[in-house]
Amino acid sequence: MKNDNTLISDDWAKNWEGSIAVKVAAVVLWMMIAISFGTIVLLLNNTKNDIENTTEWNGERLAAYVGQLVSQSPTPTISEIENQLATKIETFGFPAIDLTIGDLKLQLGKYSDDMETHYLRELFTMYQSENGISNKILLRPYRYPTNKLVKDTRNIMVISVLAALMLFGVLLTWIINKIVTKPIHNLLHATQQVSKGNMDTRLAVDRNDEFGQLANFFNQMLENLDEQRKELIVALQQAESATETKSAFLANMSHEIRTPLTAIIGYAEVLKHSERSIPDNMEEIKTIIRNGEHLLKIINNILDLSKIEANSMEIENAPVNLMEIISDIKSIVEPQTKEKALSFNVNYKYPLPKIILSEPLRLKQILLNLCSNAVKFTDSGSITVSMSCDCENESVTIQVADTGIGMNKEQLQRVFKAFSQADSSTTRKYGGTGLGLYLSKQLTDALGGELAVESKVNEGSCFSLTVNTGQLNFVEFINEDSSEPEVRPDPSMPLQVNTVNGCILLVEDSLDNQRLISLYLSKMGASVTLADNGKIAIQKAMDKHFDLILMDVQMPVMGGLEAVEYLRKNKYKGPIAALTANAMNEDRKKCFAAGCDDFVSKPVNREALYATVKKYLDKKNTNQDHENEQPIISELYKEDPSTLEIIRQFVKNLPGLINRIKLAQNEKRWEELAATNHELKGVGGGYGYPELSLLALNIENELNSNNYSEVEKLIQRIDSLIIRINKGLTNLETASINMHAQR
Amino acid sequence: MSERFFRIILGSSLIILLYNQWDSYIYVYIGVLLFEGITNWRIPIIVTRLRYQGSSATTTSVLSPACEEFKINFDAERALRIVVALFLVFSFVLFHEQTWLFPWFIAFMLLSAGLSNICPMNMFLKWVGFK
Repeated sequence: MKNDNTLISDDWAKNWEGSIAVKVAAVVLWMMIAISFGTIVLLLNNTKNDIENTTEWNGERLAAYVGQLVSQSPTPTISEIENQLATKIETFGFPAIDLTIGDLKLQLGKYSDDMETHYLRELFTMYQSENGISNKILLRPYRYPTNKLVKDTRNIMVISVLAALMLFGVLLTWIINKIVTKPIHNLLHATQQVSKGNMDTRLAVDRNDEFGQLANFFNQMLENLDEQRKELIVALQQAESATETKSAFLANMSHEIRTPLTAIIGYAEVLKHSERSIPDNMEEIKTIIRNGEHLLKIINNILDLSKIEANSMEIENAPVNLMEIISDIKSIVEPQTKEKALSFNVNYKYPLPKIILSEPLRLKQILLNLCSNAVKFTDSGSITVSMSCDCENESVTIQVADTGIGMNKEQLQRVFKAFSQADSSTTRKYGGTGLGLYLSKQLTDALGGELAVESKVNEGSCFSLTVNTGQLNFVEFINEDSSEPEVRPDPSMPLQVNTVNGCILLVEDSLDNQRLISLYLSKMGASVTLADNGKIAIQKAMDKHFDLILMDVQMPVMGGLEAVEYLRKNKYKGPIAALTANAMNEDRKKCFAAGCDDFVSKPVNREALYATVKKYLDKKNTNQDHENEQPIISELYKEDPSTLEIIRQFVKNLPGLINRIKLAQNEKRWEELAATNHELKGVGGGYGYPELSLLALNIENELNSNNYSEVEKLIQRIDSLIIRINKGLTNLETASINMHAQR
Repeated sequence: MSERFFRIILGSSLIILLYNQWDSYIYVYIGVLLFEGITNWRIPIIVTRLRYQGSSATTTSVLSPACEEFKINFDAERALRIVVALFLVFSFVLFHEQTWLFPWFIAFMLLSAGLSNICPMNMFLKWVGFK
């Protein structure tokens, strides 16, 4: 059906609006018509006069011609005259003529009824016939009426001009359409293709004008769009891959987390219903502890992994004693190697720096992981840890070599990838999440180091960890076994009981944690008072003296930090250690800013708790011991007793200075500590207390050597000095009062 | 049959009639236009209905803002027929000598409308308010 294409009334306005080609054609044609009619009007202005003049002129010419014809020599015959006139008649513009020679009348041309006589004229010339008689010649040309001639002329002129200009207009339209409309149609077609999704469409750039530029920009736009589309596709694939990885991660971790939990819950259930004594249940207890530690390790790995993925892993460089770290690792790993009858060796390739600048926690984590892997994958032989230093490149390399199962090239390529152990059979035989080496690699990268591996199947593997040391110019080096690093106590040794003496306020809302930590503290020998929240803790702390407050941070009613701030505002000076599961640096800073002196992270590690408690309760015991020591009298007073008042002011302000030193030490603001210590050194000597200056000098020396553990020990001795100074001042004041009384 | 095609027929036939000076046929031509305009029995409509057995083809029209204000309930095409007929009466019948060129102008405008697909007169009539 053609219905859709045959509209009874075409919408001419829509045609105008809808097509550039129509606009161009219409404008050109109408302009041509207007120009042509103007031309015609100009050309045909005096048509009638021209025609009449021409006809007159032609009439005269005809008469002259006939006269000439009849007077030729020799005289032509009538038939000759007739023939010649017949051929020439049209050239004179007369369709028919009557020629009367004597009595003979000739009719030449085609006569029609609408013709009229132009003139009837007797010519001057006479025709001499053969017999010598002169005959009169009458000439009567016929013509069409002037109006008709004018009309004919006009018609021809109009048609000719209009046709010519129309043709020109059509040609012009065609050219304009070719120049303008065709590129627009090409662009339209290309845009349609793109809208259908065909992104490979491109316009031909075969001209340099605006359309060429438009085509060029169109192509560039398409290329940009195409590129963005490809990037989006890649991003989508990455997002899908990430989702798959997340799913795989969740599936993997779900199993890894549930497995130890099952053991913990299972064995706890067994113990719940067990009627045997604790020693008899030791195996189950050890299993619970072992699985708990394994679960904690998995959770720590997951948290570390998420931190790395979120780029929120914070690395804080601090002085690291490598020997101590190796020693710690040895103490952890050696028992494991003994269980498998393996030997554990440590080789130091001297000279080695005593202290380097790195992240101790992460460094230890990496090395522990490497060593644990070495133990896991070695059935016989040895595990060797070697350390060497490249002073020129300011780096230290620690190698962990084993004589285990080794890896082939394909396995080596996968070994640092997440959830990828050497192969699936390894996972089945040896277990593990496949995160250890991936995490180690990520942590090494975060430390700015390198982790490499060499391995041969059935011969063993060698992991090389290279980390930066920082500047080594002023660092003390250890040469040739000159000082064997001190072996730290084995953390697996049983907890020392009854080694501390004091009162501890435990502020913890969780009943389970209260019981657990109280048990730890009681075994240490401390007496424990409990508080469920910060508000109760404040009441108890204000009522009774405690040697240490262990304050949980997140509690109902009043949180830990809020309680600490309140206590400090109310001049509470006793030591407070925060207990919190938030182990980020920011959280530690918040605790210290609130007024805490120390920090114990959850889950509570027995050894860490013991170390913290011992530190503060030992200090208290040390202070008590020092009360028996001799009081210190100011040398300044000895020289000039009138300085008692200013000495008193100095001693009164001394605790403030000491507190600044302690705070700086707690927050590891070494520069501030150095400045304040320098001030102490100056004023101590100035007010006649050389012991104070000497202690400050020792602190200064240890600071310059970056020996921060010694700095801490020396600062702990300040309190005893202060007590002796106070005692001395008290004695002086007493003596002064007595002297006045005697007077 | 579309109006566009009919325009071509109108224009070319008028040109032929004028060229051959078939005055009587021109009078018939004028008569047909007047008939179409007065009765609205337009040749394109009749031909289309005959061809497609009475299926109704709708008139599409775009109303100009003027038409939205006062719409003249009279087809612009009908009006155009009447206008052209009156122009021809005026220029060919009454004042032929003075306005001899105007019929030619009309003829070529009709032809151009058909060729270019634009009819300014129709657009003007619609702008005035014809529907």
